[in-house]
Amino acid sequence: MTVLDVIALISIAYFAALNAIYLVFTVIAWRRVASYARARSHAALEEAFASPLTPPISVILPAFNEEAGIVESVRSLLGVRYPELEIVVVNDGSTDGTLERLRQAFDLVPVRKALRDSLPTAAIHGVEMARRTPQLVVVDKANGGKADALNAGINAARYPYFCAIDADAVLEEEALLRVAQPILDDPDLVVASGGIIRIANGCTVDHGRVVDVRLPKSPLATLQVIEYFRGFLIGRVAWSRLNALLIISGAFGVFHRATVEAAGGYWTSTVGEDVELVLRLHRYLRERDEPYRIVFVPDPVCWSEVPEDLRTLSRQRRRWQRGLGETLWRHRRLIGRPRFGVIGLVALPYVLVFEFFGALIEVLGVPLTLVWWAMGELSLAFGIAFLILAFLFGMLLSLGALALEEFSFRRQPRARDVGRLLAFLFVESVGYRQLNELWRTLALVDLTRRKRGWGAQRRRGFARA
Amino acid sequence: MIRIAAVVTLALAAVGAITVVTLVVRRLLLARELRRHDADAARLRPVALAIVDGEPPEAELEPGDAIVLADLLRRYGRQLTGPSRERIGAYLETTGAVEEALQELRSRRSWRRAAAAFALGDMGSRRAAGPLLAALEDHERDVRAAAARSLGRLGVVEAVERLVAALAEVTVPRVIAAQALVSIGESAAPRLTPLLDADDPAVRRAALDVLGLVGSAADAALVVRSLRDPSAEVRSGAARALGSLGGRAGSDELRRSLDDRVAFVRASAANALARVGDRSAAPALAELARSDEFAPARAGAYALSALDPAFLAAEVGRPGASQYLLEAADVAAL
Repeated sequence: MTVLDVIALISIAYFAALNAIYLVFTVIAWRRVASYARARSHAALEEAFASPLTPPISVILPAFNEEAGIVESVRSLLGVRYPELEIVVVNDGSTDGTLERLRQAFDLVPVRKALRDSLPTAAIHGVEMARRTPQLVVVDKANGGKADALNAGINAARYPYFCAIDADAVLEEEALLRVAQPILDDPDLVVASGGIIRIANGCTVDHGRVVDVRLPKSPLATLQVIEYFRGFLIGRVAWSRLNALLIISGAFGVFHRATVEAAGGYWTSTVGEDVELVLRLHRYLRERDEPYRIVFVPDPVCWSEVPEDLRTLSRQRRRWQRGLGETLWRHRRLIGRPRFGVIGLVALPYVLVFEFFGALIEVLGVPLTLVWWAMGELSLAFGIAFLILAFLFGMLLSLGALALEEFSFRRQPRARDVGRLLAFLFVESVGYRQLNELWRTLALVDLTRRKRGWGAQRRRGFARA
Repeated sequence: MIRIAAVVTLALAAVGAITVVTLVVRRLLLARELRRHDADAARLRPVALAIVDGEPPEAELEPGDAIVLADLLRRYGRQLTGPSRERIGAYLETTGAVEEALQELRSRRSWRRAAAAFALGDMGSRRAAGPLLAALEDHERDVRAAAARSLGRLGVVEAVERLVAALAEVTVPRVIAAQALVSIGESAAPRLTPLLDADDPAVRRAALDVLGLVGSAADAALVVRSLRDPSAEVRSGAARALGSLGGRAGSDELRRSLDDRVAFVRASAANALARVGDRSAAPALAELARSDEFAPARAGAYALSALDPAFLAAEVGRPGASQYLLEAADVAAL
């Protein structure tokens, strides 16, 4: 057996294993989401809203140069249905008019607020509160990055749970009640709960509410709609079922504050602070043999804008992959360790092989196949058949995710948008996904060069009614 | 090998094509159904409002309309209480909608039983009480939870004992059992007090949470005992309950709890003293705000602000006033 034969066998095994896992995940997700969607009709949301026993939540919005949308985001949060809520905006050293906009809109006044010192942060310049909406607190601090701003928000938070959301995100009216449901059902066990991120490009936002759901006009954003279905409705639902959810999106998640503080808060030296925190919570609680659950709820929606140009998208994906790499490196001791249960034995090895190195394997697969073929070791017919099979299977998995959305939540009200998504399935499997793998591979280069920081962010803003 | 790959490819393509056709056809059918339902609901809304006002329709409705109307009334029933909901219940009994939901409660599918148990709580019919009590023993947690919630919505006093047992044994999520008991009200209190001596501290704490909301000042004497419980969670719960119950019965004990060895118990005691309005606690609260750690110090400062603003102002005027006192004063000035 030659080296090329070994590589070929590994490639086929990799392909078979990855798709088998995806298939199993799809089955798990269909069962869970179908059951969840049926249970929605008898979710006691009104009771949770009316109950004095529903724990209050501090919503934390880290904001860096968000003058364009910060006021609307805060107004949107003030309209969210939840019995007791405070909103902590952390102005992370913005150089634009973020703070001024907040002052003008909400009549802020300085308050000598006592802040916890449980998590170290960059210097706090001051705290202001809204005269007419006392549940709004604005912490002004020196720039320290998103994780640092979240830590400052945790230090300022009053309530036992906090919800971290992006400053440009729009929560649906009942999103907090729904995402908090697992915590209400089992407060002694559930330490964190995440909701779904849906793509707001193309939607119309009025007074902080998405009032008209449409697909984005941009093809690139439309491709991400399908990608998000796969990631959230299949991946996260299945991992959550296995109690091995490794990420709660930084854009929308609720956490038990004291547990996060005890685990050390957000790690400020990574651009993947959301995945790192969740993994650290797993580690912290498993090291102490404490029973816990970290869950994903597929229904509470946070609408968020995604990049519409290749440059911004490539930066985002390289950053995500870098964050993953930094997280895996920091927690490398957990990989393969039975002590960490399903996290050490299943989730982390999967992420390492298929999510982190998978991109490299898939990118290298193309030239290797060509070399193999040029050396006469690969029949052209077999190569083409294998390629078609791989693309078709990938397309079917995306179709499975789209069908799951259609059979459960059906958030796209227009039939023609569903038709458009179906048409985009081909491009998503042949072209878009490979491009993603390329970006993720380039992130490995970024990691070896020890690249830091987030890079420039470009926001288009929502379409207004 | 290539032949196998070709067969698999064709099979996958066929599965894909069938899925796509199914999705398109289903979506078109659903869109038509939704349009029809919306139109029917808009047409029947005045009828539903008339029923809520006590004027049921004289003519019998078409079967399709009856379903839409029942759905509308159930939604109204979720928001209403008192005679309006009773009228909805009476009407839905006459149309057979209640009977249908009761039959669904015996369905083999658990999600149908859960949906029926939930719907019965919104229908406002007392006929559902017995079957819902039986549903508390269902083997599916979702069904039991929906039944508990509906028994609370209907205010079924006979359910108190079973709901208290559900609270203790966690056969339904505690928050649902607790909320059902809160909805039923003060008649739940006598059944809760034995739980204050339960072996499991989580049960004692849950009982205190509910007792604080449904009990009266007369229950305070029982709750005060729990301020000396070995579990800090229970002591904190007892302080919260005393704050909710009001009255000065537990004031002395609450003041002593300001020296509890656990910080969150001290914080709960401070909050409770503010709620019972014990101004004599002001010096102790000021001391807490001056010298304790974050949570109790902050709670002490806010309690002082609520109880005795003049005392707070004097404290803030003193040199070196703690940051908690300064915050409470600034927030009060808002």
